Amino acid sequence: MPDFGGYVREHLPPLEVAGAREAEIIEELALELEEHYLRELRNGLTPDSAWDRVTARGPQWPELGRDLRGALPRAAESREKMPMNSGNNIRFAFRMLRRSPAFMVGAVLVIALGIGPNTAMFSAIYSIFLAPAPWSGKGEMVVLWSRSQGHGMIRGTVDGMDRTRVHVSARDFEEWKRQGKSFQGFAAARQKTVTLNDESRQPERIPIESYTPGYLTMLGYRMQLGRDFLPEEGINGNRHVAILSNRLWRQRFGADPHIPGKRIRLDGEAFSVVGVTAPGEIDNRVEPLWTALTARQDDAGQDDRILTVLAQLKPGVTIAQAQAEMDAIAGRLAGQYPKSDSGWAVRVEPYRNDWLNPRARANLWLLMGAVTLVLLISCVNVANLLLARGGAREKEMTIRTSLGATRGQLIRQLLTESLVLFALGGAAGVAMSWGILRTFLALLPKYAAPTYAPVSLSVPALLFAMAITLMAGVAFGCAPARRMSRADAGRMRFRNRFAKSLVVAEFALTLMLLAAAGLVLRTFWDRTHLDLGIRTDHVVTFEVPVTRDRFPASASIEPFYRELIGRIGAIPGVMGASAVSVGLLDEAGVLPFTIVGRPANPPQMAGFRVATDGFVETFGVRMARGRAFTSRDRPESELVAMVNERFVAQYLNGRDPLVESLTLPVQLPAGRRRIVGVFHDIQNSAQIGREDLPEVYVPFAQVPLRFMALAVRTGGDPAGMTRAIAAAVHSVDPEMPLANVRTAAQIVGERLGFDRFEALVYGTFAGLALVLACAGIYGVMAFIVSQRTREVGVRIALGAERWAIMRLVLGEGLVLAGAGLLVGLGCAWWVGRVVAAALYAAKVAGEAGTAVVVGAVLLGCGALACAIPARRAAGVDPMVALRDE
Amino acid sequence: MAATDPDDNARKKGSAELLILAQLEGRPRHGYEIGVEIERRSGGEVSFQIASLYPILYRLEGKGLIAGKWVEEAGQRRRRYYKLTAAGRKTLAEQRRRWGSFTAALRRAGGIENA
Repeated sequence: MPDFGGYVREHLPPLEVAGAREAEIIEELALELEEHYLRELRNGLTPDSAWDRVTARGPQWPELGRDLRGALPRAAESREKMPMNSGNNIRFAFRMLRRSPAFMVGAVLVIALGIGPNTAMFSAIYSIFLAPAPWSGKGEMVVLWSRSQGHGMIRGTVDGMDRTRVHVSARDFEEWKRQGKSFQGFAAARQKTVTLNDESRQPERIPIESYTPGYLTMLGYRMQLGRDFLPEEGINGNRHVAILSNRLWRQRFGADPHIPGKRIRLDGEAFSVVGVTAPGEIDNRVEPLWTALTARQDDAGQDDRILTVLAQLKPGVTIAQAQAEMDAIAGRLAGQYPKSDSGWAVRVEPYRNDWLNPRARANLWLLMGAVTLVLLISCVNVANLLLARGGAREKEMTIRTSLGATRGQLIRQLLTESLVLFALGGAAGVAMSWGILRTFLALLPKYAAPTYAPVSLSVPALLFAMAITLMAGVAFGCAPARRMSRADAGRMRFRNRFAKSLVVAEFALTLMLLAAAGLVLRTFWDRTHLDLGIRTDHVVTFEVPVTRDRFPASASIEPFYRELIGRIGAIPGVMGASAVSVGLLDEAGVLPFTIVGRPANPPQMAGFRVATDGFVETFGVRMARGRAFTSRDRPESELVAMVNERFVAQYLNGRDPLVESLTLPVQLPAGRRRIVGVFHDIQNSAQIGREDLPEVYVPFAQVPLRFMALAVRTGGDPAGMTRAIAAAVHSVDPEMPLANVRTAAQIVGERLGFDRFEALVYGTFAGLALVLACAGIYGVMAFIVSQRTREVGVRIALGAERWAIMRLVLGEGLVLAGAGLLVGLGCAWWVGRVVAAALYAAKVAGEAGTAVVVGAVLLGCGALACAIPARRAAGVDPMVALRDE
Repeated sequence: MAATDPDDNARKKGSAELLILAQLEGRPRHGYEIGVEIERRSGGEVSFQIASLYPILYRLEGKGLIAGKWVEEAGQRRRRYYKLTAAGRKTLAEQRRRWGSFTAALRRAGGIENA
């Protein structure tokens, strides 16, 4: 059989359709000729004459070509006819990606590094600010605070915390509940620390919350066992009931299913357990145990501001309306009870995020901005990768263009490829975000997670991930696709310029992130090196969980602790021991005082502590004026006090503190207290780095309190002394355990937990950006060098020194990095100001220094990244390079 | 055969679509078979050469009136079989109606019946 296929191929003019279609047509025409040939054979012709006959009667090839071209749908028309071509495109895209796995893995990883942190941050923000809370749709939940209008130290904000927000008195709570019309429910709670004691385990000190019946139910928490408090349990005499958190129930009570009805002891009093909460976000609350709150408190007056007040608005009532009503009520109460209520307003605030201080809130949004920058940087990298790959696929594009593919078709195909790439990267990113969320939640300081909604990957977060993936895929796939599909001669040069401008943008973005992270890290560093006013080395602290019935008479308190401190002090290796009424670096309760001879109104406030005489020595407190307490400060001797420098600065207007006297509130022995010493400020606040508060210390012997935190200064490792200290305690009271044993260094570490977390998160994201930016500049420089191998070869052949070649490449890279730095400088300065204002409410020291450091780090890393291609360029063998072409 | 007569050509081209569609009514056929069938049914009066058949086939396929598919039969070369689509079937009926009334009119007005 003659080769009709070859014959047709030889004669038929090009049809201007896809190659595969043309081959089919040739095959079909050849088959037709073959049939004619076979018919002639059947008619009795010899093969030769049959061939002659068929070819002679064959078509006029040029005309047939023209007619076929007219009949076949053009490439452009076929697109119109088949809009659902994308399935093919996607299949093709997968084939192309499989063909270069290194490229695919690299690009998918880079995309995932952008999408992952974004999805994680969005999940956090969604859970905290937007996700429905258990009470959603039934009326807004609000917290009501008393607001001081100019009482001494209670003013302004510190670290973004509003210090004018004050707890509410029992009287105000009752009045608000009676008069407020905007609310459908009211609840009050009070936090305190008690000693938990049950038969089976050692006593421990735990924070608890007492609340009026209905509080947990109002917040939407459910019970796993038993019930919430009954209304009658909020009345005096019936209040000895307790509810356990699921966490405490599992940890301390071994998840005992028969716990309801059993008894526990809190501060020596018996309480019967009535319920256990269901597991969930409630376990993120600090307090693991609740008791019923009664209207009248044993240890507080009607006017003491100790209650947290929570209320649910009626459906449809706004916070502004409730605020207006409460303003009117506060005005009436000030007239009715001028002594306690004049000068106090009411603040109605949303309950949601109330646990979240403004700094943490600012952090969430700033970090969202940070991860957006990371996403942009990673997308820029992907665009660069796509461009570089465009170089490798130039031949393919040329072939496809010559086979009739239009530019639009090429763009569509390339765009599909980048979308497929982004979809894979997005999926990997979502997986990564799950890991990021888990890691961050694990590293988050205790009890910092929301108490009403879980922080997890949710449907909205997944939708968000899909949306940003799609947007990034289109935005960053389009430009390279357009560049690559362009068929003009200047394509290469243009693409290089485009890639370079991407690198500049990348460095500018990275500088912004580094500026923010630099500031956060710098502040963290400053705080870890802050003068706390005490020495934290070689100090161990602990509490003895005494119960209320431990001291039947208050006269027995002071001898107990004196004995305890004496025994501990006698241990070899112990340098000193003391006791303070408030734990190390904990914020003290604030009490009003008056300076003798000064007006009593408005009342002035200061943090109040009781300390034994060894306190100054144990903690290495530095005295500025006068003397510390001594063993001669007895109840019967002159009443004395120590104050800090901040107190002197705030209240004494430059007068000599050592001639002034104070009077303190009623619960203490009445009378004037002479200031005998002034000590250097101690960082006694929940947040290290906060400005110091005015403080008053009084001697323990004159004001014996039941609960004292003990501290021991040791010569050697403080943690190693615990056993000896416990033995000393047992020699005084064989039953008495040690609670909450921690070294001072540990406490400082815990106190800096949030700063550390902040530094870690910002540092991680900025580090990620830095790595991505360096990978970006490396990629572009390596690509440019590979393109210029021949040029470099010529230069070397003509006698250029290797170091000059290196300098050339390095210089080019550094020009890009430097340009990025210049572009980013303004933005970085602005970012620095925003971060400082949002997180530290102030100018941060050493801003300029930080900027110089991060700029240098960025430039240095950029140079390192360029050094590899530069070395490669310098190592080019001119013979090989020239033979290459 | 008056294959070079321009009038004849035009007439054939106008009716070609009808002729091809009609051959596919019963079952799918490949290109050569379509040509042979037309020649057979017309008693040798009408025949299509490669040059006229294939452009029309591809045009019909482009319009979606017929659909081509490669079919491999045991022991044979694969061939492209064309079958009528739903749209093709409709067009065939429509063209039959048009051509029917046209030829009827031709017969009457052209006095063909009396010739």
